[in-house]
Amino acid sequence: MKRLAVALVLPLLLAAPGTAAADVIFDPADADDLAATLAEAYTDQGVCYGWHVTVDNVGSPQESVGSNFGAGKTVSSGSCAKKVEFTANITYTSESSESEDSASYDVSSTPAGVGRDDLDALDIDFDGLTGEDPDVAIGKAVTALPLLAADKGLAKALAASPDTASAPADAQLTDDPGSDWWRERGGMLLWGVGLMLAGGVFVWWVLRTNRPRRRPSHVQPVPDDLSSLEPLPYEPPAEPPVEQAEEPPAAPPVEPPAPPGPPIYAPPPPGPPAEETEPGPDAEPAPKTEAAAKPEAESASGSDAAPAPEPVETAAGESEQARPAPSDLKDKE
Amino acid sequence: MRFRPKLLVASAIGGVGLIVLLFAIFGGGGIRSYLDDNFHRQSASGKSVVYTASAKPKAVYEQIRSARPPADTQYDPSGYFLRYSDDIVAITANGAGSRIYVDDERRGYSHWLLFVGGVWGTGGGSGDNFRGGGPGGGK
Repeated sequence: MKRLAVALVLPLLLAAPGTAAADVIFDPADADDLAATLAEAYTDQGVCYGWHVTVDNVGSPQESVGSNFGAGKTVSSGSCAKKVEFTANITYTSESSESEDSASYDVSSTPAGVGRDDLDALDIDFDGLTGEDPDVAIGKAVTALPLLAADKGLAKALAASPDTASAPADAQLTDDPGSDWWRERGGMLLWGVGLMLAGGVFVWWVLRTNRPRRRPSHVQPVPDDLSSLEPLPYEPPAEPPVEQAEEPPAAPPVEPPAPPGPPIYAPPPPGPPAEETEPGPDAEPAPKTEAAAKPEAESASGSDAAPAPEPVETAAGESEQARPAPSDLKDKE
Repeated sequence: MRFRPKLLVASAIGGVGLIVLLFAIFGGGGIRSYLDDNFHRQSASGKSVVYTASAKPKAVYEQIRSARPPADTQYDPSGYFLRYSDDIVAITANGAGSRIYVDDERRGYSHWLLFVGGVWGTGGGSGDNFRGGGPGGGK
């Protein structure tokens, strides 16, 4: 009978959390509360839970240990068929050291099932292990161990139920959760604005560097008989046609038609259209007299829309037309 | 690359940005509309609504968290508690599946005071609000 009583009471004594010893991570009260939470889970699920965190504090080794058996007691303090333990190693370096603080963590379970990936899926901020408050991340991870065990089928799931009683008068929310909209869509908003700005800058750059340039409309007059032309030296126009057009119509410079001679090639002026530089089909082959050329020059210079044809060009065209072909001269001889 | 292809690429980038921007402004909804769209409504009382899901609590938690990121999450061996700007969501086991509670923040804090009290506000609780401390000295 006495043995039976001891067998019944001993597991309960082992499962009851003890008092917190000096802890490098948690305040004593927090360590006790965490151990009590694990003890409740152990009672309901029959799985042992615990944590073991080693800290290298600038060469001084310290540790934080606790389990459902109590703060300061490892998960191996009792005989557990199933156990899940959170382990972590934190290294703090001195201020003068160039090395950064570092931390690693893991989850071990017997039987195997719960691992580090399961813990990572909870999105706990483990960067905080090397921050000012490592107990927050460790506390959340350890508290979540029974949830992970239930998810993996190591234990039955526990279900919380809402408290329908009225809350105490001093129960007030004091945190600042921020905006759901900004948290959810802030990143997307920034991406959209960034892409639009990038597209706008790209368009501006494309327009700036690839602006289409106007090609000069140099159209060479094509004579009817190309074989009759000989390569001639370039001769610039005597006067720019624009200046000629701007002069008053009363005193246009009229040059007499060039006497018959070798054909003179001159490039057309850049301004006037090609049709005006070409000799018209009705051009008279004979040289014009001064009286005949004057009204034509007046009418040409008096037009505002089209600049006057270049005198040299006109003379060249006329002289070319008036000049008899070499074969004709040969016949005459 | 010639002028026109460059212009097309630039316009495409700007167009994608505009679509993303419009989706960010007008797309989606809050946590309540997401729960309405994705889970079976079991009961409702005012602004307190209960949904059920066939998946396990951890899978439901991951689904909700990735779709509508909460401001904070608290864990307890018996459930997940998510804090939003105006609402509090609790995910607990329900047989092989899950039960999802959503309340406005004041009522939710009262309902789940035992689990989140002292963390998101005053008024006690189970004491999982770790006070910080430890060796400190992180750099």
